[in-house]
Amino acid sequence: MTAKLRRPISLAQHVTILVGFTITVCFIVLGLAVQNSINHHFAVQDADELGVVAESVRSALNHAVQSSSNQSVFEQDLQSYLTNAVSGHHGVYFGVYIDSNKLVYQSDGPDLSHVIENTQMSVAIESDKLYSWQAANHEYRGAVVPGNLAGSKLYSSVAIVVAAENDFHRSFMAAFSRSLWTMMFIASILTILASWLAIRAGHKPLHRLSEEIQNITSEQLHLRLKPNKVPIELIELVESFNVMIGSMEDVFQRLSHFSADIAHELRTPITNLTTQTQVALGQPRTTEEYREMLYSNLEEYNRLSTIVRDMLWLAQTDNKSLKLNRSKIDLKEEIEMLFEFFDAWADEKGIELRIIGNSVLADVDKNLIQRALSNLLSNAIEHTLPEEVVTVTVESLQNKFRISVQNVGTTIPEQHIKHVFNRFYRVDPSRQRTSGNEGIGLGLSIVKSIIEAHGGEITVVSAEGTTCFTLVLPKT
Amino acid sequence: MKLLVVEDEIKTGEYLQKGLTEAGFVVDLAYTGLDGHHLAMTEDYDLIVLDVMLPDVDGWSILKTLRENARQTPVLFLTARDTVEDRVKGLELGADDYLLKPFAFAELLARVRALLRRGIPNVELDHLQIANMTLDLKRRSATRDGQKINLTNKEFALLELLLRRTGEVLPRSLIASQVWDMNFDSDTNVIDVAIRRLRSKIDDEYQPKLIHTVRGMGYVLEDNDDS
Repeated sequence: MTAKLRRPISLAQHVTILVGFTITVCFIVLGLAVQNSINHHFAVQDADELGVVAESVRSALNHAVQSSSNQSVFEQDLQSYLTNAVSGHHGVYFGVYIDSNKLVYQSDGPDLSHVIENTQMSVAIESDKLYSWQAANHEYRGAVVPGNLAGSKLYSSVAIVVAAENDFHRSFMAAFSRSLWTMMFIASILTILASWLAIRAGHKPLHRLSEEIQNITSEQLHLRLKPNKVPIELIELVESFNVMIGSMEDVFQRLSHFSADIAHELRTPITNLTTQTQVALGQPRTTEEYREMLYSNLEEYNRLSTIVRDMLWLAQTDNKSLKLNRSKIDLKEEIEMLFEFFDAWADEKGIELRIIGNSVLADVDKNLIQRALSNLLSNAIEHTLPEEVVTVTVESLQNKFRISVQNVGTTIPEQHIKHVFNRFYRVDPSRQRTSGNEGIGLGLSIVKSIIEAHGGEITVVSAEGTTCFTLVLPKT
Repeated sequence: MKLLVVEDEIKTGEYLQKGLTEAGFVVDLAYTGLDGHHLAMTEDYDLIVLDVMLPDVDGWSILKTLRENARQTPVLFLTARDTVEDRVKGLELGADDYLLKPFAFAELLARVRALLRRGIPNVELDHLQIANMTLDLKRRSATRDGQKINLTNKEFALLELLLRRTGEVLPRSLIASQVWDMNFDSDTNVIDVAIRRLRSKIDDEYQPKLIHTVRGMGYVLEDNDDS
């Protein structure tokens, strides 16, 4: 059973869909608004025109009423009055109803009777109350207004129906809508396409970055990405990546140095062992000689296991997997205990061990600090001239402790001093190998690792026969 | 004293068996975790030397079932991995001691003896004696051939350690840890110097010689003048 992980939708898709949706909705709303407002405008225009027509009809009616003495004359004259009433207007029709909708006049054109049936009469023609209908493939809009027969007692009520043909507006709107929606459609497709392209282009730096990253192989860990060559949004990514590559390079280097060092350091004892054993087995020997060889082998084995043990220890500190077991200890007391330990050896060499300073309590890993100080002390005693002094100074500063181990002996030459903390580094390569149980050149690296694991640092100064190692530990 | 060694590395196992047998123990050897587990559960041992990394059942599981079945046989772990977690895990499961590979046989022997001695109630002694040398533990003084020998505190502690462990080869690291509380493998020859000074006081002018150097291993105190 493998849980299927759903890949999140691609960024480009995501953004394109979102942008596309928004743009489309905006265009639709905009289109509808434009359409609506033009329709309204036309309706207002129609209403105005109908109003003018109605006014003309009304005045024609008045004229007719005033110049007619009786009803029959009026109805006869009406035709001639009204026929010319709206001569200036094209596509406009009207009808006149008197006394309970009795049609007395109807201009040539569509039947207007259903306008009066379906429309409330109102004095002012309002654009949104126009009545529209279709007849014989034409569209019309109409309204009913009261006719004002001032001074006439012939008719109690007169209704004027006015209507205008709407075909021109309608066909204009149809054509306009078609082109409007086509333009909107093209515009939204273009916008979506453009945003998709923009996003793709926006991802280009990422592709480039990924190609650059692919080029950084294990042999080229020194390469770094250039933060000034990417868009501002990616700077952080590039910088974090560089930090990661940096620490990888560091670890990688340590690892390869570790392998190289260990191979080199193991070669000598293994060669000794092989040669020695082969020579010994070359001819029959006395038990005493065999025993001697075994002892000698044993010494080499011990040496080998010391190297392996210390290298593994250092590897552990390299991985930062060294865990400090901190407790409060008195640094001065610790040094005095070490003095006691080294007392016999120092005494034999005629060296005086001296401590300066007061008790200081520090929160450190006791065993590790003991080991570091012991390495420094034994190193100092080893290199101190007879009848000289090794001085250890303990100081408590504002936010750190300082311990210095100073001895009078031979000056460490300038070209060596920066290497003394390197693994297997020996100032005098021929010297230490000769003395059997002497250091394997890791002592000071171990001290450095321990101090660094505590967040401190170690420095060394050597001049005019005096060498001084100073280590600084932060107060926690 | 009967010991069980569980070690999958054949050569190591054989040499451990040989060495421990020659040191006076009866030693059973198991090459697999299963055999070791079976032997540990059925036989009575005074101590088990257990390799952590075994191909089938690992040392931890064996120790766990042992302790779950209320078998309190002391267990000494051999491990090639030195991490704090490993150490803590071993000790939490009820291991009594652990030793990191590569180890010196003398070190193993010293640890084994220390573990075996643990069960025995420590008899409060006033005096320790070997040949013509006597240590007065109460007054912290040493005499040889009836002559008082002046020893410093640490020299006395060193001599006492050697005397209490008469016949055992004590590695330098064990001496440093027991006498000076220096719990790391020191590269220095401090122990050699200390022993040399002690010898000059208690051995140089007397017979028989008591402190002997075992090359590549450490020091032993015994009344055995031929080596």
